[in-house]
Amino acid sequence: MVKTAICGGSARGSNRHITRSASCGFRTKMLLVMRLTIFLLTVACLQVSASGNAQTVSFQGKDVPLEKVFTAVREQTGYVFLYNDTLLADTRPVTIHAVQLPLAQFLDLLIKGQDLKYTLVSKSIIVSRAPVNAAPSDNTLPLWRLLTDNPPLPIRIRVVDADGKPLAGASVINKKTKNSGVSNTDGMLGLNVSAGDILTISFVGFGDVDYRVTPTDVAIIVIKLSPSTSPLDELQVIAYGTSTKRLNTADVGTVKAVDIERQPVGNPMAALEGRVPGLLITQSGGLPGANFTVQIRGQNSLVQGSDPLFIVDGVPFAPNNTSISSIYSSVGPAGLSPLNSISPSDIESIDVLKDADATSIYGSRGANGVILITTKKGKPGKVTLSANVYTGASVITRSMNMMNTQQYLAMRREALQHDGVTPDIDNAPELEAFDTTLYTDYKKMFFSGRKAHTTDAQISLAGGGGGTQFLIGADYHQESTIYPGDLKDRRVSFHSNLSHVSIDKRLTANLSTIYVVDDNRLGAYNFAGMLRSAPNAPPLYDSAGKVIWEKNGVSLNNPLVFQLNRQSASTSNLLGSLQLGYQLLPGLTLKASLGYNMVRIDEMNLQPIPSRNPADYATGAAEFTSNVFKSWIIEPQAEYNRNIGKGRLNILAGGTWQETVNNWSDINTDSITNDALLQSIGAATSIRAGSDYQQYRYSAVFGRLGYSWEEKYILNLTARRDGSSRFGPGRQFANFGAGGLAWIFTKEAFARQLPGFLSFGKLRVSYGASGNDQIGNYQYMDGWGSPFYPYNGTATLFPSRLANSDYGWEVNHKLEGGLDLGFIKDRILLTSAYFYNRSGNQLIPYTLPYQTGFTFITENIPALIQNSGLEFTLLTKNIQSSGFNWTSSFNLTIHRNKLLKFPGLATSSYSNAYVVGKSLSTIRGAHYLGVNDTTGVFQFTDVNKDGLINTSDNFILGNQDPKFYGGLQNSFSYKGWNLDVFLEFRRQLGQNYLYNIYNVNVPGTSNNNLPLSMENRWRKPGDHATFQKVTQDPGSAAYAAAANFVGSSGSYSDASFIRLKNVSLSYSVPSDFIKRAHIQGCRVYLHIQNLLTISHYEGADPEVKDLFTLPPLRTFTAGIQITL
Amino acid sequence: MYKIKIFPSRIRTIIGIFAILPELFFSSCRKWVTIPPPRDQVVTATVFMDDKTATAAVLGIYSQMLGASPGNLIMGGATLFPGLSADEIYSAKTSTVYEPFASNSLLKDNNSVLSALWRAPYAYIYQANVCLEGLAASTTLSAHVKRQLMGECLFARAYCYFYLTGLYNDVPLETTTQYQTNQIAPRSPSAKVLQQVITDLDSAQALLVPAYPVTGPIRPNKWAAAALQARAYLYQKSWPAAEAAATAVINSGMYTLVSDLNAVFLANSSEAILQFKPVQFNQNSVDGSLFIPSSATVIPAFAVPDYTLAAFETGDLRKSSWIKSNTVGGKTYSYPYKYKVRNGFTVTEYNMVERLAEQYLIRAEARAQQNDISGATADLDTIRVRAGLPVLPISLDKATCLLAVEQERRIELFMEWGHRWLDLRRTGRIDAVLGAEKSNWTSTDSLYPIPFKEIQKNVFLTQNPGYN
Repeated sequence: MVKTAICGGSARGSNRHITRSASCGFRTKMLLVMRLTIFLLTVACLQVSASGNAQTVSFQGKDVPLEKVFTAVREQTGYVFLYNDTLLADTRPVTIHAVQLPLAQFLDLLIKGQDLKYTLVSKSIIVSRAPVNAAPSDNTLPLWRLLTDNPPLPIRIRVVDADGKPLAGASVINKKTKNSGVSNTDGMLGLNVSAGDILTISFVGFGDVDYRVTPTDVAIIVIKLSPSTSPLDELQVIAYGTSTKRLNTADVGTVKAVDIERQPVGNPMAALEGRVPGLLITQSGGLPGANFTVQIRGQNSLVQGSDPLFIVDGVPFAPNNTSISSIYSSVGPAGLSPLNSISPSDIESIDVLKDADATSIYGSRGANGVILITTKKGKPGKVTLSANVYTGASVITRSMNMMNTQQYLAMRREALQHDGVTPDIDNAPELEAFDTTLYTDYKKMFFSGRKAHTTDAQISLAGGGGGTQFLIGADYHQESTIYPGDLKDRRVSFHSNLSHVSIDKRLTANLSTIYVVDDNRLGAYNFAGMLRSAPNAPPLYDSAGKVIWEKNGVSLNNPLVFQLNRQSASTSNLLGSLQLGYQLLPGLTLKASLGYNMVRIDEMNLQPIPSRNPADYATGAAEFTSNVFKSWIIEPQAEYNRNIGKGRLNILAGGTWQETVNNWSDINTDSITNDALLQSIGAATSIRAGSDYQQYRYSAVFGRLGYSWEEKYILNLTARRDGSSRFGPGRQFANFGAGGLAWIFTKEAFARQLPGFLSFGKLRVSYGASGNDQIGNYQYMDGWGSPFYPYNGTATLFPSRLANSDYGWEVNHKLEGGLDLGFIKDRILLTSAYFYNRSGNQLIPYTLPYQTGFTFITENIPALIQNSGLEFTLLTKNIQSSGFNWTSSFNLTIHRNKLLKFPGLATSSYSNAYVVGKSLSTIRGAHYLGVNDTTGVFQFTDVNKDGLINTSDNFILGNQDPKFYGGLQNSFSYKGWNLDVFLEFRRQLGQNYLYNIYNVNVPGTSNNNLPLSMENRWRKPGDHATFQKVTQDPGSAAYAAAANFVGSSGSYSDASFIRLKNVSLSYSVPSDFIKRAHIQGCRVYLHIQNLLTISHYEGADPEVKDLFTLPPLRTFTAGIQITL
Repeated sequence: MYKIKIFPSRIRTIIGIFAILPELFFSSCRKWVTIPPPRDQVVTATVFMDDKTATAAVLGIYSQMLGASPGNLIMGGATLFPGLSADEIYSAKTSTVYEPFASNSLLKDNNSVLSALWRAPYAYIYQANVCLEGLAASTTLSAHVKRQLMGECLFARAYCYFYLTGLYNDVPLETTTQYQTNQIAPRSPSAKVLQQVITDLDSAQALLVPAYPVTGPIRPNKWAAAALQARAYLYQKSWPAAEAAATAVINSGMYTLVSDLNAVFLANSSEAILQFKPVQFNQNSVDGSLFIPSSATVIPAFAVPDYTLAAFETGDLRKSSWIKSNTVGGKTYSYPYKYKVRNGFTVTEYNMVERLAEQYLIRAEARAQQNDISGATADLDTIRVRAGLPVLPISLDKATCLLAVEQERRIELFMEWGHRWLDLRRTGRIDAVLGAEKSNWTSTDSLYPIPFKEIQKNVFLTQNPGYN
């Protein structure tokens, strides 16, 4: 029996001859080892007696009848065998060697090849005859064998997870012989081994296990893997699948829920800042809902969008990252962020796909990178209820002191005196018409000492058993602002996820739904701009409480009337995503991903009668807009996994049909005579309406081929044929593709010669091309739309655009190389990447002279843009002890943007904007020389000595790209205590506060207060001052110099900063303490956002860089999380 | 070694699936990404299929003109900016926008020149051109609608070119929608542009009928085209043609001078040959919103300088009817008051584009140039009598008579469509008149700069003298 079995086994082997001779050698040694066997049997019996009624079985014996084995099992486990007496008649005796094998596995072994099957019922094991053809065809290996050093013999290995479920695709390598294999769908593989060999078993997401083969090993070695604790094995969501940092050929940056949850922010983008190398996020201001610019690896397109693609649970987020608001509000021109309608607490992970390999399967939509947002899912196990509540306050961080009334009026008098002008109520209403003793400190009125409040409450229920898991949850988030009035942003979000795997594991389904309602009432006016108001401007109301519109002959434009307006923006976001998978054949799975997203924003602005100047309006007005973004996507896919040679092949093919529709409408009503009816459109006699409709369709066929050879050499190829409705007939389709290659060289033989502290090493390279179609819709199609105004009551039309049907795809080429290193068992992990992206065939709205009747025509030009840079991430476990742990995470991005080529730049309308060889954000301006002591006027270098400062005197002053940026996180834990400190840093040049000051109104002009720092100004000849003399005369030299100052080197400063962005301290109450209260977990925490900013930048926030915009606030929150 | 068993049938299935899927996709993709025009828009091919959409397309020109912000060429821009550049008004409040016009110190990159006075008319011209092309090609329109609409487009185009050449002299002449050639078109000589205006108006008169297409003189009829042509002939110094065209309008019998000066600019005034009806909320005439201050106690934005107030003869009713003043801080500011309504939802005043009085003045000048002094003074007296002034002496020589025409145009057409500014340049009197009144005057100030940004975009454009 032994012989046939061996020969049968060898016949299957590819190395037939070697196996055969090995088996024969084995046979001759049988007798020599018999004695040892007897010894071992004795040991086994001792173990049996010790184990009693356990669920594991230990048994050793050669050619033992089944009945005897049954008895032994009964003795050890208490299980009784029930069977028909005739059943055992034609069974063969078994040879078995098991040490504490789980009962089921033992039984499996026992009945292998016996045409038997068994069923466990209560404490009974019912044994019956199996269907005739049910005998596993591959069960021809010996059930028993004693291994010796030499020669190697085939054994079978079964790889399972902690729950005993088979792991398909695990790789096993014999360290000594370099033989290797990959487990099949049952977790099984065969390998030739000798006793004393060390097998390394590894699998994605699990820690490697080294297993030493002992002489007592039986034919099936069961290897149990535990989930890896190495950051290399954390799951990364990639296009249409998952991977890990260890095995990914592509460059993906991941931020997990744990880092998001620590930050008391309303927008997920705020939580990402500084955490992913290559990802630059800049917020437009500190009001809740304010938009963020998001850029991955720089600006790829001259003028078209550089926004990455946002995908939430597989569904393209319909508004992507464009502002969704249409009515100007206090959040400023950047508008409301669409991502504000996703609750950060619902997010499990955010994965940032950066290089060609990672993004190209998304085709043109992913040309600027992809941000995948994955929401939380239920985990198997006990159903837990978790509640989390926090509340806190925010205060302003940075602002400037402005002049008080005396200083301001003195400055105004000085300006008039310099200009030789007598003050009158036109040129100096503050001096001639207003009360010169009045003083309003606007900073105090709107900023200092004022508090905003944040409250957040989350509840979720999650868990599940068998094949079904679920999560349901809700979150309420409320954020106010420091401005006076009842201004706040409130959000309620609901999230649910249901996942199911059928018992035969062939069918998988996952349904994820989020629904978010946001109500943003932040008012119509940015009060930060009020800092500029004359400090003695008359109050808004007279003593009788009526709005003042005119004071002593001066008409007032007092923005405080905006407080009388009512403004709101209500957003709702519905996102549903269904993923279905069915394993049609072993290794072949058919999948479908279906998704729908609708983001709708309804805005309203009401202007009651008192808010309008009665000289112009005796009535109220209102504006209503509705902006609906809908997108849906269907992506059928087929995935095939197969082991080929020592590698694992993965093929994915699929298609995409996507449609995004944006429907906007706007209704302006006026002449409403009753403020109570402002919201009643029918009450208005004057109505004006506008609409806009945008449709985008996209379809593609894509394929991915991945091959991983022993998890050592990994190849990933993707290709995609893209079709976009944004191109004219015949130009809609284009092919793009990418390839990635990774080499985990620490798996090579020579790696043993490398210093022992190197535990992981991977070299990675990827290259690919993708198209960019982020131009507007319909650009190839002429069209006539309706303007706001009918003429004489008759509808009118106007031509919307000039059409060009000939333009084609903008193309991005991306190259990346990476080196990932792990030291001291991955305690130190260094990830580095160099990227080199080139983007050409630029699609631009080619500027036309107005004489054509239009401003632009969409065209391709052969301009070439390069983005290159280095990215580093360093993860270290600095101290690891039973009590105290300290880990750090550092990331750094060094980035350069360069315009390589722009034929005809000098004669194009971009000649002043760009310089070949320089960054797209290059600053060109005059070279500022300071104030002339004699004339008191700003001086600049006059290059051509023509006495004028104009564009011909421009220098290249630098660029506004961050030179480098990144973040540093330190996490400390001691017993139940956790402290996380996160620093964000950025080195950059930016417009300084003087840019704001000189850009808006020339200092010295009427109703234009200045920062206190401008007291240091030129007053008389001989003064050595920082600022030029104040003036109000547009004809004066100082006035012209003020205009030249804007954009000159004097209006740019170092805007680098190090920001203590997040400090989080939490304490988990010890379990023995809380168990008495019947709760599973209780954590209390303190979160501080934006605690401190270290910067030379004066006045405004160095990130927002605008003195007249509310900077990001400093927020303190405290909270408690309870798990039941 | 251990290997998965492969059943040939499975392989076939797998290959089949991977081969069929792309096939399925490809066949449906092409159709999928071909999308219809946006729901709220129509394409040129359908616009000119029927009378209603074709009319909407042409009316869109007025909607664009009047929907623009105040200060754009048709929205008071042609009145305001040349009014400042000449001697009609000054900016009473400190303003960096208006000051360069008032002090004749425009820079080549002046933004108002660019957007309000250059970009705006070319946008209207494009729309007129695209409509003309569409209308001409259409075979499905009613004949009378087609004629009316083509006439209106030609009028609109002529009106825009008249102002373009008036403000800049030589300008690119675009009569098609071909952006490929239009974008590199150099400036055409002003004579050619003016000839195009006259030709367009010839065609317009042939297409249009005396009857207005709707109630009120709010869209051009035949006489609106003739009246503009009379003006154009004056600029071309084609005196007999100017006289003939003006006479045709005067003799049409459709228009009479309004005796009450306060009622001249009312909607549907009997003197109006063409008025643009306001389209925006709360708007009457744009002039009213620009010039009438918000209250009687504030400084108006624009005030009439003393030398212009002095130009009104004693007893001229136009001074008391068409000029009003506010006294603030002891100082009196006079402002244009031809239109009486600053704003309001009830519309009582339209924007007067062409009126009969101008035709009398055109004819007077044309007659004087042809030495018909009595004819000229008769026409001038028609205007003077209404203003409560004595008739002119009958024995004027030609030069004096022409000065009388200039004076009468200055007063009668005060703050209307930049007549004063354009007249002074047309008659070559600008240096003498403004040089005497304004301290910084140089002769190159009589033309506005070709916007610098446009020269950057079209290298074939040249700059006007004095702006390099």
